[in-house]
Amino acid sequence: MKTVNFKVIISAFAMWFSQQCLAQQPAEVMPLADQALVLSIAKVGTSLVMVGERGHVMKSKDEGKTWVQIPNIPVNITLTKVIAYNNHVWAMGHDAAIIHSDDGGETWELQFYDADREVPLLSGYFENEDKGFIIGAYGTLLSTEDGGETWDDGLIHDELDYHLNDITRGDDGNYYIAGEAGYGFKSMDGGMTWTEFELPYMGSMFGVVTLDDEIIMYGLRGNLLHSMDQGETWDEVYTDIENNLFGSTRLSGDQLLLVGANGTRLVYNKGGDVTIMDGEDTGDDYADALAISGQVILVGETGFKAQTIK
Amino acid sequence: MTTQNNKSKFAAICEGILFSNKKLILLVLLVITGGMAYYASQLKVDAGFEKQLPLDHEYMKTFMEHEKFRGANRILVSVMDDSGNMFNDQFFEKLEKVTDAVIFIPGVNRASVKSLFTPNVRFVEVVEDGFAGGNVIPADFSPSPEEYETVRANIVKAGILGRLVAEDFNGAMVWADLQEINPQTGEKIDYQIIAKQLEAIRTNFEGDGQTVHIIGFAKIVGDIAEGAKSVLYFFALAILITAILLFWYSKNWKLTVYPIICSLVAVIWQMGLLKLMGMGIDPMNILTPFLVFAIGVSHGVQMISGWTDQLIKQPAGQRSSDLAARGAFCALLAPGVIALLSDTIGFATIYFINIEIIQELAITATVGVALIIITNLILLPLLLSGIKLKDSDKFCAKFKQDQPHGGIWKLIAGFAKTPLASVALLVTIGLFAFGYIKSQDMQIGDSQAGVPELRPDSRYNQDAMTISTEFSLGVDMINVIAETTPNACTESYRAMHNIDRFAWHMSNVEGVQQVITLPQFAKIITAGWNEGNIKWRELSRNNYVMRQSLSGIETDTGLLNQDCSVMPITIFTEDHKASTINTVIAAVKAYQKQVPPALDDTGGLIEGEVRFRLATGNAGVMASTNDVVKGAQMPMLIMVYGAIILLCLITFRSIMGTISIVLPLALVSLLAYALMAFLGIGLKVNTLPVVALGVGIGVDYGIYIFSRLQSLMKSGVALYDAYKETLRLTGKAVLFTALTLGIGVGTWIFSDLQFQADMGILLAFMFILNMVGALLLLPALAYWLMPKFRKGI
Repeated sequence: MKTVNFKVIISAFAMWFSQQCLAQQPAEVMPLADQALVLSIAKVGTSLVMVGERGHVMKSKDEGKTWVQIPNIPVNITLTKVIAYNNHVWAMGHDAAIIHSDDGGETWELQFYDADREVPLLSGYFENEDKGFIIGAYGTLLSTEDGGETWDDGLIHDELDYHLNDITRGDDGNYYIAGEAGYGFKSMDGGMTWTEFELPYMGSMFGVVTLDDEIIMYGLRGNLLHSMDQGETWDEVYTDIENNLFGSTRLSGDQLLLVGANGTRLVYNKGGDVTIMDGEDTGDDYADALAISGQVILVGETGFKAQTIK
Repeated sequence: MTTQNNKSKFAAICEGILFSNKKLILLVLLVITGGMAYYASQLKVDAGFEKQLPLDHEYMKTFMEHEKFRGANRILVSVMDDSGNMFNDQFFEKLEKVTDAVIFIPGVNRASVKSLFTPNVRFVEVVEDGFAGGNVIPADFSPSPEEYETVRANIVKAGILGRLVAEDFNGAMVWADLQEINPQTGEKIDYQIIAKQLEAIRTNFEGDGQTVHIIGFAKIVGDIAEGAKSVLYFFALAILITAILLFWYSKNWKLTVYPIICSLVAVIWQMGLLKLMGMGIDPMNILTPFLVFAIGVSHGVQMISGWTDQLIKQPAGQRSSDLAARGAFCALLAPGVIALLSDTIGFATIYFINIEIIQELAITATVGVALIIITNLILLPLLLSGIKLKDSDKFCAKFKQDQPHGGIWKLIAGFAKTPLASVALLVTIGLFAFGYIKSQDMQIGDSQAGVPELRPDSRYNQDAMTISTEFSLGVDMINVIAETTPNACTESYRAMHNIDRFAWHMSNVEGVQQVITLPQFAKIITAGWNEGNIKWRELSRNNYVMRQSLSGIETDTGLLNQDCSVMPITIFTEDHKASTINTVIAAVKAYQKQVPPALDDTGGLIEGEVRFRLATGNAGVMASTNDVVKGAQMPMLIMVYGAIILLCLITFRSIMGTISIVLPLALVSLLAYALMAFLGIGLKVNTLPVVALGVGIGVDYGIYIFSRLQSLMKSGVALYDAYKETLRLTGKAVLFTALTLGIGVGTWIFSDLQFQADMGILLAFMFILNMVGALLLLPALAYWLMPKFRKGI
């Protein structure tokens, strides 16, 4: 009987062990990684870094023409966002994973990981090499003062546990967060305290971005809102589309490109004038975009694509 | 007379029994022929998908176990709009009617039918308070520009662009899977009827702005059977050519007609027997009766030339057809029976390849060749014995005049001594080397993208081309079956993760267009439940989330089984070329090796472990068939040659003589493979037996020649003279037969079927080269291997 028990222990251990392995497996380098789901793209110095499913992290040194997948990424889950300050790069995603690179995205280490929590981290912002915020589902708000060495792990609100989808910092130093179900948060004191506000539209906002003193939020079913008074009042901007808007990039001082589901690309002019961008509609979902040298790199469910803006 | 002296006791006894009961035997044979003709007329063309499957192969065990996920016997009907835009009333009306027509074809698994008009094709969209979904074409659809815009958007949302709808919205497709047993009637489906019904769909709906394109196994069978009808004309043409040449050769119309009649009797008996055995004839085996005819003619020509020879040798003025027939019978019984027995055994060995269609061919060919023993070694001499020549002396004189003594025969005879024997040996060695190197290029499986049995410009291959260019997904796919623990898709994150990882690895393999599997859909739906936010496209570790995500996925999507312990990974490949399939299969095997599933101590899968099993899908079936064909090729040749070698050893009691017969055959087999490589004909189920059949035909030449040569040499004639004498009679007949049959099958190049054209080239090549080998190489080998016969005794 003893041997049988021993076997049970062994197999139980094997199960536990394999689960532990799975919990945090490194990403695999594969030829088609840059054609798989890519969710976020960012400028890091003169290079570009983009991240996506299966822990794919890719870097381009030729303005997005060719990409090299970075090996030895500590996680293989979907990475939802990449942000950078100087040579420091953070990427975050499912399993509440945060990975960090201090050499422009060449080598990475794991800063935070908690699979059991079942919370994906969805966006973040660093105002310098040390101070930053990373937000995620169910009101998750992680903040750091030491570049992510240690994280202050908390929730943005005691009662409201809506998903926090995107975070940005205006020129005035105020933080704005776009959330689920028409909720937003702002902080006028550099993230010490957060106050909630409700949008006139009840759906979720997936992105928030500022153009000088104008704050723009976009999200579910093509809904677009802007505020001229630090988020006190919001106006809806008619877009004539019903596709989700997921990402944006600044084309010029007063112009944004918004991208979203089913090949949606909108040009937003300061003040609220919107035009739908011409061009081929492949029906792909775009998650994010980045303007560089008169072109935009669009990323989404079939990897990356370069397009010229007219 | 030499032949009289050599008459064996056995042959003499047979001669006595047969010729003294001539009338009775002829009557019996006539009655049998009448009966067989009746049965033969009822023989049906019988095609089947499953009989092409190598059931013993590992993949086919998976195929039989997971019937639900076969997806191999699929029909695709696409309707394309000439205007380049499918959003018009007429197109939609036609597509709906085509969908209905496909659903009502007997044997079609109705739940498997997919088109814009079937309820199993749905889209999902995200709205503020959750999900909205529905049929791509709304239930209350009434054609209008706005409604078409809605349908267009739904098509994109449903993710069927490039699969059910052409990439450029210029056409749409109906998918259906066939079941070999019609569930309503319990009977086996008739592929030709289905092919006709499919063709009727085309006739009804093509034209007036739309075209209809149909592909799938059933259509292939139909088109091949249709093309096989022309086989009859070619058959008739070959008989005609044989008759004309035979008349020129024999100078007598009875001598022309008898061998042809006897060979045809063999074919009639063969087809009658097939019917009596409850079999039909497969379109791919439709050439076998012709082979039987050809072998029959080959033996028939030997018989009439033997008979003529006997006649000539008889004293002038007292010539007797009966005596000549008896003499020819006795002289040819032994070599004839040996040759035919080695054919029979050779063909019978093909039966050991466990693919039903090849076994059918083995039976068809074996029976046919065995019957030639009766028709051409018994019936023919009996008929010949009854010939009444008006002026036999004049006939003999005319024939004698024609006897080969000219330059060409001298030249051929020269191969029985140096220097030509040396030249032949060197050329042989060179050819062996060349053949070996070139034959390495031969592909196992298909070496071209379309259906190689049909002409590249045939409607079918054009349809296949249209569908593969207009739709992003081809028809060629390998399903890998993932077996895991029950309810794994919702209860085991690890299992889903493992399947997803495997699918991703496969996506990265060269030649793979796309991979479709349940975890992908789970990710997309999970994002859907999170307001369509693309950042949520990930498998959830939460069982409740997974249950919610997958609750809407029915088993009829083909993505999972009832308890979700089996999930196929569908790998769409660019084409079904053997090289493409091999790459994918190798990648799957490498993955299986790299990530073996962990088992508990009872051998069961530990929770979350996944076993990836090859394979279903049409390309999966091809992979297993290619495997079996590759594995069967050598054993088949060894068995065929083994049978021949054994019989030659027993008959001729000479190792060197056997080598002289077999070596030329082996060279021709090798060169035939080289020719296949050169012509781009892949070795597959349909072409595997060709070389074996070719050997069967070629061995006759060698056996007749060596038998004659050996008996002359044993009686003391020197090799060169013996060979010259052999050529006079046997050699001439061999040369004539090979040319006649070579020309006959050569006409097949003009067939509608690429398959028949290919076979024509291959068989003509083998008929003629085997003849060349037997006439030139055999004596040269005898010269080197049997030096004691160089000078007569």
